[in-house]
Amino acid sequence: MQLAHSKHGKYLLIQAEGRLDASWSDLFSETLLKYIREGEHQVLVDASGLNFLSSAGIRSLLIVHKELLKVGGTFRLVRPTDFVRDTITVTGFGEWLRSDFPGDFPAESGEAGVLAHPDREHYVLAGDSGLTLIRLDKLFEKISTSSGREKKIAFGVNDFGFGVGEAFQGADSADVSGGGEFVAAAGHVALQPPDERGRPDYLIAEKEYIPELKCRQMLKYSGDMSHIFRFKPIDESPANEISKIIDTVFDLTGADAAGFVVLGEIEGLVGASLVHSADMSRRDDFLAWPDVRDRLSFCGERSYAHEQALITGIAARGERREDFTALYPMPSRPDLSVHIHAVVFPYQPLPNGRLELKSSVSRFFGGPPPRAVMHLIDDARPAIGLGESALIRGACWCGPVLNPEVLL
Amino acid sequence: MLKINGIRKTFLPNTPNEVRALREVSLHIKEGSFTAVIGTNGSGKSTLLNAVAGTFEPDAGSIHLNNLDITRWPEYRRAHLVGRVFQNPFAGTAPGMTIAENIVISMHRGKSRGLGTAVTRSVRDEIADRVRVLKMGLEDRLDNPIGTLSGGQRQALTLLMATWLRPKLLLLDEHTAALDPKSAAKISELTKDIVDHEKLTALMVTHSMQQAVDLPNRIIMMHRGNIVEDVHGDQKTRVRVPDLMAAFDRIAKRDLFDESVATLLARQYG
Amino acid sequence: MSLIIGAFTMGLILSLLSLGMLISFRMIRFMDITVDGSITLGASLAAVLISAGWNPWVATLAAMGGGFLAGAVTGLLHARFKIPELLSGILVMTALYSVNLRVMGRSNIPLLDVPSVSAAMETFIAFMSGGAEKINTLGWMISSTDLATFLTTLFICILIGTLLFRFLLTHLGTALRAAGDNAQMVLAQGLNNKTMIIFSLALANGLVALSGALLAQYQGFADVQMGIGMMVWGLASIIIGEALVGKAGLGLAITGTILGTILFRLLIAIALRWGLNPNDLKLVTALFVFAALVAPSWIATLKKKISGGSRYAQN
Repeated sequence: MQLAHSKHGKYLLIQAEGRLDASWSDLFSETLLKYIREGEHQVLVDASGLNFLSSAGIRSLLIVHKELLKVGGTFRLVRPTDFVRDTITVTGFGEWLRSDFPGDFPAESGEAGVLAHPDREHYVLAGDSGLTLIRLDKLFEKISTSSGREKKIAFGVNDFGFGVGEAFQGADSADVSGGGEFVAAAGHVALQPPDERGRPDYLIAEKEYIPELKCRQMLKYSGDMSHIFRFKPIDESPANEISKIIDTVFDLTGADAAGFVVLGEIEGLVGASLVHSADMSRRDDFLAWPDVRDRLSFCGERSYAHEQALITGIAARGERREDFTALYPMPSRPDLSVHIHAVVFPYQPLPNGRLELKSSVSRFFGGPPPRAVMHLIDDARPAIGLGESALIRGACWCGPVLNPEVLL
Repeated sequence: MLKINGIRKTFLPNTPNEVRALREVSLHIKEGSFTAVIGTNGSGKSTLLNAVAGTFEPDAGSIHLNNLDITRWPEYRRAHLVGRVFQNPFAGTAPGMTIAENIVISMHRGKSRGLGTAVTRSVRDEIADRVRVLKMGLEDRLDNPIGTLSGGQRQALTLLMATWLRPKLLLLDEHTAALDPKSAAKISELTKDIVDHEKLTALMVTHSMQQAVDLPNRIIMMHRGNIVEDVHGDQKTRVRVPDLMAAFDRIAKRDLFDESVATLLARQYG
Repeated sequence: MSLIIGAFTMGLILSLLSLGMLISFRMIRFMDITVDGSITLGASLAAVLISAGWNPWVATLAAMGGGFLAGAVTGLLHARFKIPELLSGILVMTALYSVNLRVMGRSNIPLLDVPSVSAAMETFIAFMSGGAEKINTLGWMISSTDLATFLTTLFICILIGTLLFRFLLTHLGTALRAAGDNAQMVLAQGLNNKTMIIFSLALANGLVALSGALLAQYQGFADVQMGIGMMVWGLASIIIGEALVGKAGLGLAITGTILGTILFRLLIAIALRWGLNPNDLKLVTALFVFAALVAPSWIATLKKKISGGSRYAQN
């Protein structure tokens, strides 16, 4: 079997020749899934050269179809041979078949591999909107009784943030584990239990229910995002580093302080997560070597490549850096002060274009459970540093932070 | 039963190649329990087993077995209490000697060996009966040199020999690692049968996570000469291979967590 | 004809040396060089004691005891003091040279007009034949002394061979063989393999010394130089024996060693008869052992080449 691809306007045309059977079906589905990952969501298969289709072949077509369904794409088999048409009609997938190319199919092909969408495609959502930031920090406060150490915080659909806390289970429970790290976005919360053995837990806002956490430390930014932009690899730099994304955030919002949410395919994440949060009475002790190894877990390598990340973060530049005490300068970009957390999900495709934030986040929380929650770190150590986290492609929603931080 | 208290062992001390194989390792094993020791390469798991077997004397610490202080006992003397199966399937049997002769030697483990004829007719019948249980057809080949058998067959016989006289402690040193998958599965099964049936106390070093999950009722994980995890009781019944892999992953991460990382985190954490 | 019976007798005597070396070289795989010293020790002890009027049987047993001790010392040096096996043997062999000179008081003791272990047999033959000098044995005329020596040696050989065979089948003997076959296994089965090595070497050198004692009585003298090269002769005999009957089974190994030694002596007798310079004997023996050690792998390569070539030709 031979596969060739070409780009025609918004369509990706796959020319398949030969037999699509058990020995070729994996190659076929893998190739097409790769194109879908790269953002090709309008897929036409020119089936005029396809002279055989086995059940394994139909399965591979179905895999591609399902993947495209997730991102609202289209999948068509054009000009099928009689054998292929009969086989597909009998199996009930007749909707895939088209006798000819669609009306908007350009006769001339574009250059293969070059995507139709412009770089840094962006949309204004609500130009005059902005975010308000509040901060809670009781983590390192020395308080004799445990009752005053945490505060109940609700994370609704317009709230974003991260911090250390634990799920609120109705009445105040007596046990104080210290909580784990969490990331909250649009009514969804992913929570890493304070024991690295456990998998992250998650809470979802539904109808009347709004996730509430007993927090010991958190940054929450609330309001409507003003912009969304899409990013993807460009030839010179296949990876989009966090700092590059933040630069775009500042460019679009025109602000010197902004909150953002990113959904995207991971190139590599660098970060740490809280393993043991009890007994965090003093910051200096807590972060002191070597005991810090029992409290924080460092990723050790650029991790979770090709999974999807949901990232929430705050960044400030210039004088606005002074407004926020919970932001830290990036060692490789001292002009930027940030605080960023990420949740890792197994890979799922993202639709193209102007994505809606809430439904996009829901899509991830509705799928396979999250794999990890981590605090992203810029590892600029000379020679052995892992660098900063980077994504391959995805979407970023952002908005200016209007106020100086409010300490709860 | 087996009480290992704070044993330390450093190989090639005061040289550039110094290896601190065991650092203050303590481990108590109850009678009738089956413990697996897992760990990365060079974690000290085999060294721990060898310390119990008596291949070397520890630099510090003590080993008690059956309420006897065996710390200074030479290897052959410990064999009176301890049965052993090695990773190398050829290590546990004498290749030039017959199956019957090999087994006769193990029938007198820890006993005096006189000038009586070793393989008498009645002994031979007894051996044939026990060997028949292996279902390898070896009972008809008792007079063949063991060197003519396959690794799996030899390992099965070594296991039989190690447990012929009920040992106080059975040491299994990656005893299926050098076998083909089919033989390894068979020896695994045989090990479980014998240990369960004879209610033996066993300590097994293994590379196979699956084996560590399937066979024993306790898992010890070692890293850099320390015991870093001890999974037993209810916790052990719940543990699965991915949990063990995750534990290894944590250990690997912790290794990469050095002082420079701590400095890095101190600046960006809070 | 006396040449052949002489070679047979000599072969039988030296087969005890070979049996000793069968234990050290083959059973416990120990390159024991003590042999060159302990055979002389056996000869000198026997010669001195018999000259001093001891019963030759008792003297022979005492000689055997001397060899036993020498072997034990080699074993101790290796097992207790961790001296490499070759060096342990060399040390004891060198020490034995002085010991032997001390035992004998000089470098050579002749045994003339003293009884030997075959004395009883001589009396018996004399009684049976009515005192004839030569006796018709299977059509050959053989001196009664030679016949007596031959028969006595044959008796001792068969006795020792049988005892050794029985011993190796006992629990202790089985353990001894296992110690040579797989030391790790022996340790794991609760046996002290160091003790096994010491005991085996003692036993082996006891047999070697017995051989020396009989040799001295047969030759009629003990000489401090007589042990030189004996180890290589013993090795050659074992190799010939293995070529004759193979290695399968203990009985065959023992029989083969005895037959091999006899055949080797016959070959030497014939070679000397054909005019081989006795001074070249040891060189020839060494060359033979060299060939025997190298030949197997050499033949295997050759076979591979030949079969490989034919396969190529078929294609």
